[in-house]
Amino acid sequence: MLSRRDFLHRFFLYTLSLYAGGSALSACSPRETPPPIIPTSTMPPSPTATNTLSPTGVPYGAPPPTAAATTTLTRVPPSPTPFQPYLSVAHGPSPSAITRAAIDTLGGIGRFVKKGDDVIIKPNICNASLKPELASTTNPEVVATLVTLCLDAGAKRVRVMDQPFSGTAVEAYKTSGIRDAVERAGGQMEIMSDMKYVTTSFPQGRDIKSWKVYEDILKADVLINVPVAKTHDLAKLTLAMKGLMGVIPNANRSAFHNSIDQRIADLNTVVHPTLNVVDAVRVVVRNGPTNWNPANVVVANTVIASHDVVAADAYAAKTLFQRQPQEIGYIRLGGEMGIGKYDLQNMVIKEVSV
Amino acid sequence: MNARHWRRARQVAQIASLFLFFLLAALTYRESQSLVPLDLYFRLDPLVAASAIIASRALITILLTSAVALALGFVLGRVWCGWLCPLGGILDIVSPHAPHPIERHTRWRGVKYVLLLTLLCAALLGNLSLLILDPITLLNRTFAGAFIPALNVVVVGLETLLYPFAPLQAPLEWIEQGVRGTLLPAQPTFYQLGWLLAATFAAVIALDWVAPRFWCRYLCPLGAVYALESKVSLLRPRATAECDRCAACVRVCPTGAIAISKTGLAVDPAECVVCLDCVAACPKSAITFGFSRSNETKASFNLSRRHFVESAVFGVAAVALFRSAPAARRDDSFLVRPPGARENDFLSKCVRCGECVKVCPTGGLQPSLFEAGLEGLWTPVLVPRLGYCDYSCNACGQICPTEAIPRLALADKRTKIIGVAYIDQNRCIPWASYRPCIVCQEMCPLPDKAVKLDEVDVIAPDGRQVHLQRPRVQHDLCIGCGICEYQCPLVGPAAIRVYVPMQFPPLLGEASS
Repeated sequence: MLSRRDFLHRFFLYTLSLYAGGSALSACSPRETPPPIIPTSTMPPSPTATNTLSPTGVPYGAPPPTAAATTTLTRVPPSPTPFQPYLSVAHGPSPSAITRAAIDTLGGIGRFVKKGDDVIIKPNICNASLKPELASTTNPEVVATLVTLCLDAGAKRVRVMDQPFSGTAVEAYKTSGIRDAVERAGGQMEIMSDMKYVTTSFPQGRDIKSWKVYEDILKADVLINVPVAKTHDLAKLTLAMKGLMGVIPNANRSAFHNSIDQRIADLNTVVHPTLNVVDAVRVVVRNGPTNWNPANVVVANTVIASHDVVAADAYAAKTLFQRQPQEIGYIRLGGEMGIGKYDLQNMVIKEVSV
Repeated sequence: MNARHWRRARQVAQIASLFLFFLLAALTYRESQSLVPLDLYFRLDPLVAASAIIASRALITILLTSAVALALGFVLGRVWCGWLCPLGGILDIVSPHAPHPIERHTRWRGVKYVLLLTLLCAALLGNLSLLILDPITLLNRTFAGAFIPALNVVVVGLETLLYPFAPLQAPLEWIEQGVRGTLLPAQPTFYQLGWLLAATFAAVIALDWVAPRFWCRYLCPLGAVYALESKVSLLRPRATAECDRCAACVRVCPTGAIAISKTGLAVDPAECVVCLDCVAACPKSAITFGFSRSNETKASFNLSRRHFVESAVFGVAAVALFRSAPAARRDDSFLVRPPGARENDFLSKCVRCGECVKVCPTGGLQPSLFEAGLEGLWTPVLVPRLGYCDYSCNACGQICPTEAIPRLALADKRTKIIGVAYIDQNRCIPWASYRPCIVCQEMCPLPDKAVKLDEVDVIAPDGRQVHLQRPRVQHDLCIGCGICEYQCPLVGPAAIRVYVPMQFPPLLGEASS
């Protein structure tokens, strides 16, 4: 009869020798080449090259096919009824009031959030150093108001998350003021955890074929994307489409910059926010995305909302930064690839002031 | 309380102390709040206190609490070793439970004293390298650089494995949100020499199979401090008249401190750790501990003048060799120290405890191997490819028990130059590959951005005219935080690297004007 101690000794020894043997054997076998995940050799598409490509024609809002195919995915954003605008804009001195007004103009939060929904709000909390007044992170009041609206609409749970590129999430949540505001409103801050990233295929991706994406973002009933409007030295602007870079792991995020416009557009073929709310209460007009100089911040007291991520970005680019939407690479690609529309002329836009 | 109860109390104390040590060690994160100081065990370590005070010629007030432990030693002998030392606790738990072999090499017991004297002699010369052998620093370094990161891998691995099972998701999320940033690092950390720290620790444990508590008997310099005190301490074991010299106590004594004498038993006070195993093992209950002197003691190892001379020679020779190494002449190119440390006579203040390594939220601070020469073994060095110095963090200076890393306010820390970044234009993407990339500029946390972008129109090798933004470091702005190097998307070494800061001498014109 083996004693427990002997059993453990033997078990340990056998496991060790099996492991050693296995490693030795596998070391002798030819190595598999890993699948190329990041094609770095391709040049960024030039405008002439991409113009010849027709849009994929996939209807906007088609459920994104992912590795986690058995689970339910973020609900398809509801298109507006004839009485609802495609995009709404609200101006006014109170961040909370204009957030409410923008959502109400779109038809109310009930259009997006149903009773019992699991909601994720994804603001921009990109770093742990900059205070909210510098507008590098989303306005806490805007985020908190959305939390309140969702809970009032009967959401089962409202989580708020982003992954900062500088500093830890714990600190960044605090510095940005978002943690306190969200918790006061009854929402939960979630630290994005390594266990929840799933390798996801990008069937409509032109550059990205697969990348790891935060599973909960794909699976939440409702995803509300709340970027802050800023300039960006490479992508020119960072708004709703680019803000979604927060849902891929930090570890390989810098590789995204290699052909940033195409990769942002590709990411937007997989992650579909139900609602996009662009916080333009304060706007960084120079030196973004991490700006320290208050002189670079313009108070615009505006919130833009739409179910269409491309439209929200296009409108923000046009009105806040006086740039044609087509000038911004990822907005143009977003339109071409059928993710959304950037043609502001033929769009029902409703502007309110409160 | 009878003998068994006392022995049980000792075991409880050991486990509680071990638990407290691990808890304090695990709680050492940026915003941890704790009732007891997180560096409690360093504040109770007279060896760390004495040598750091001697070497730095500065009265480090927070270390003076170790006088309590020192005083305890004069009364109760090596009770620290037997009851409180977390490393001693681990050794007692894992040691083989075979009958203890008869000790053959009594003279080896002198090694710990020689180590202690050498350490103090080197401290007189401003060197603290031997503090890597202090049991608290040894355990703490192992914990910070090997155990925690490995534990994190295990936890994340288990979580990832179990997460696909729906019923487990809620509890897993609850656990993850609870331990992340409190018991486990806020983001995974990677230590280049974790294996070496673990191997050193494993060796200390393995020596227990040569003799029980090998480390405590022969090597531990902190044990040597208490052993010297024990020679005059008050608490002593004694055999009563019932002792029939059966030698049961000799066989159980973990440090081999007991011998049978004509009258009963003779104990070497310098080796007795007051574990009370002998009291519990005695079939006649003939052993008592009390404050009266027994008339017979086992021959204790005595330091001779020769040992003092030897230690002094070792100490001087070691320091002389350290200071004649290349590291003393010129810094390693990448020896980036924590903020403020470089200007602070760092090597004579750093006790190699690993607290800064553990507290660094990005995992950028790493225990060094030979970057600072052998003299700087296990001192912290920033390795930006593994983690950067966060612009919003001054945690290392706050936790450092000896203020080797100065306790800087955040605003001051942000102006401390710890290094300077240089771009390798042969590898940098916009320079060498004619493709866009501005990650280093985007990441630069400085208000005025030390990385600037030059807009250029150039002809690429394939003949296309391309517009590029090429990064350039403005060296008078760079503080060397290393986030550019950390985030550089290149595979392998970054195309922007942080080097040791340059000491700019005054320009000729400046000096005269």
